Amino acid sequence: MKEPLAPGARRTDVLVRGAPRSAARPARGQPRGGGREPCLRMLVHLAADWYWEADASHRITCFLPSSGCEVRESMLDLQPQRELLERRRAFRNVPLLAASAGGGQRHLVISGEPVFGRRAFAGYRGVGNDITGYREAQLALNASESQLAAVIDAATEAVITVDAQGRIVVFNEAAGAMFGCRRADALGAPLQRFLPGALPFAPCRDEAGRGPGRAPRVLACSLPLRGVRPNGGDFPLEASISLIQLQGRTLYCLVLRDLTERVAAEEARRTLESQLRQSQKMEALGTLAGGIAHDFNNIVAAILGNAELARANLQQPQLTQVFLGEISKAGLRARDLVQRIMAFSRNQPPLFRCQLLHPLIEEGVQLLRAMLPSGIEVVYQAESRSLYVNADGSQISQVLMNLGTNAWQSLGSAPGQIIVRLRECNGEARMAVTDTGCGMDAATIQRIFEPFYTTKAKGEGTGLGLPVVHGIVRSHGGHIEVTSVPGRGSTFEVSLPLVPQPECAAPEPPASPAGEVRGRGQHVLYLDDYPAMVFMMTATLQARGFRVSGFGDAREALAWLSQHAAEVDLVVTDYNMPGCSGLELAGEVARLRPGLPLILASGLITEELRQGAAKLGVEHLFDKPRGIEELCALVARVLGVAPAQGMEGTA
Amino acid sequence: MSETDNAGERLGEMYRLLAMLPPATGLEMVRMYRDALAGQVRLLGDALQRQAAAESAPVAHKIAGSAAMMQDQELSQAARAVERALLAGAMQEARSLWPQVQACAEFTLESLRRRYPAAG
Repeated sequence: MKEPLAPGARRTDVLVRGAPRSAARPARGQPRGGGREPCLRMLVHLAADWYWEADASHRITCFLPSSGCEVRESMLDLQPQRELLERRRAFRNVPLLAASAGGGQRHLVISGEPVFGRRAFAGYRGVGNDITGYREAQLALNASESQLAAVIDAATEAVITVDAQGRIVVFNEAAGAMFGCRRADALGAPLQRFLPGALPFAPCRDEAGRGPGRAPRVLACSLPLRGVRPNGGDFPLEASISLIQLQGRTLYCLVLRDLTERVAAEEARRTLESQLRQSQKMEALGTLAGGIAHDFNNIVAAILGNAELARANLQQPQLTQVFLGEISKAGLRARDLVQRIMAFSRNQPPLFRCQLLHPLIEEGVQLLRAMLPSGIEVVYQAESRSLYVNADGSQISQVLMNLGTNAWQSLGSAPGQIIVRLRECNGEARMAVTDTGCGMDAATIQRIFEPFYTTKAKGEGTGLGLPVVHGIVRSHGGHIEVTSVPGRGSTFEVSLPLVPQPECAAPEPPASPAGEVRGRGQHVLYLDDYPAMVFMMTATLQARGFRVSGFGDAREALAWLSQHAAEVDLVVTDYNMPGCSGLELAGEVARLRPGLPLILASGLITEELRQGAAKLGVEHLFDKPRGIEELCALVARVLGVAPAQGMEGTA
Repeated sequence: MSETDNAGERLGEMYRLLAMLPPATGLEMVRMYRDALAGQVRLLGDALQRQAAAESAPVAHKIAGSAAMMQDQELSQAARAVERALLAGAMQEARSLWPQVQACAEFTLESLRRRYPAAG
């Protein structure tokens, strides 16, 4: 009884002596149904898709597929492999393309061993596998990777991916354009070569290998950094950084945006805004010139008149004392007026501080009273005197001056009253200026904040006062509302966000308290390779009235200084910095601008450092443990800024 | 003494320094200093574990200097002690001093996190 064949098996005699027998004819001496044949079939089923044999003419003589195999004997054609087979050597995993019955193609690999009979080559036997599924998956993966690479390359933003060791593994075309570097040169390079300041986010070793498949985690958004190009040039950029973990591998993906144009535009905007505010200040002073002149006339008249009376009464010392007292009072009034005008007209960079609003308004009201004609009564009603805002004092004064001037002009030549009121409402500080002047209609109110819009006659106003007010209020995070009734008057109400007192410094008036040093816009270059220190010192010195250019890299600082040496009043530098020590920098600074004062700060001042500083003529060494405030005080001393003594000392 | 009181006593000067800045600037400063300090401490710990003296000393110096500037004297002194040991070639001593630096840094970071939750 013949044994049943496996699916697809063919009853064929095996031609070679010693070769495995087909299922139809067991080997001589071997029992039916047992022995090597079932074993062979099992092995083929496990290891390959089919077993094959071919004769010396390379024709398939046996084909034994495993269950589930979709390849048929008819699909196999060894003739194209004739050249390979005629070598009569073993081969492994030779690819083969076979046409399937459905019209498609199947990718196969076959392996074979030559078989020799009595001194003659008898053919081949081997196994084969259908790898069509694998090939299709590989093509799909390649297509997907190509698509992903194309998407990354098409991105307008620079995309850089680094591994856990900080080496670049992805560098798209936009990154190449941004850094002026070919992709081939960037791949494998350390990220620090392009982004030296990326250290704060530096790949965290404890994140590596925490397991596959965690969702990407954003580490930073819009992180400001400086990029470095191969030619040494640097530029500002911002980075968004994400941590990706994929199949046990840790990657960091950076998306970068070049901020060069934005920074330049922002700087230009700030400069123009500052120029506008300053020119509008001058315009306001010019508008009030008549009132100022009138006030000074009164003061001069009081001085001259009382001097004459004192001369005429020299024989009566007590009376003379009275007249001299009046002269002194008039002089003090004049000095006070001059100080206020100078403080108002001073061109200084914005200094936002958390401070009480009431003293700022009180001072503005005093200035208005001094500058407006005597027939105009300025009344100040402060419902709350403990409101804290984050504000620049001089800009608040400018707001009050502009609104007060407008209120006065709306009164025409008639005497009248201007009421300034301060109150708290809904978490805001509200400062209102109300007049009883001519008022405005709705159409005028719609346009009053438009630059150059004015209701005054030609030559009597530029129409910039209220736009400047609007800009200042907006920069303070506030808003302004206008209510007006034609013929009855107007109210301009400025609202500023309140700041909780505990986050502020101890309450202090806008004038500098005695003992605190304040700059007058002197320009300090601060250099430290620790970004947080640059930030802190820049903010602290700016808060004290100094202008600061902060740098985290000595080379960058020197490049900038070579272009702006004349503008800088003092250099403050850290000593211990990579690539260029503070002493080396001091030597370069002396070469660029001999005599430019320099302070060298170090956490550990050694004798060697002292001697090195002395050789270079560095006069000021600062011991960092003494703290930032002492460093600020040293800055002020070197720049010759005396401690402020209240309003007396600020003219 | 509560944790808040303890932090106030140890870091009072730092808080006062930060309070002198406009609120938004102060928060940004806290964020930057905290991130930088955490990164530097990790670097130092890693370098000490590998006994890489040449790598450890500059990092210890930086931590000491910046902590001093920020008026965090305890952390500054702890980091300075590690730096001195490294410069003297005493790696084992430096490693024995590392837990103190770590504890001071963690205290500072946690205190900043509690006092300035808006800094993230």
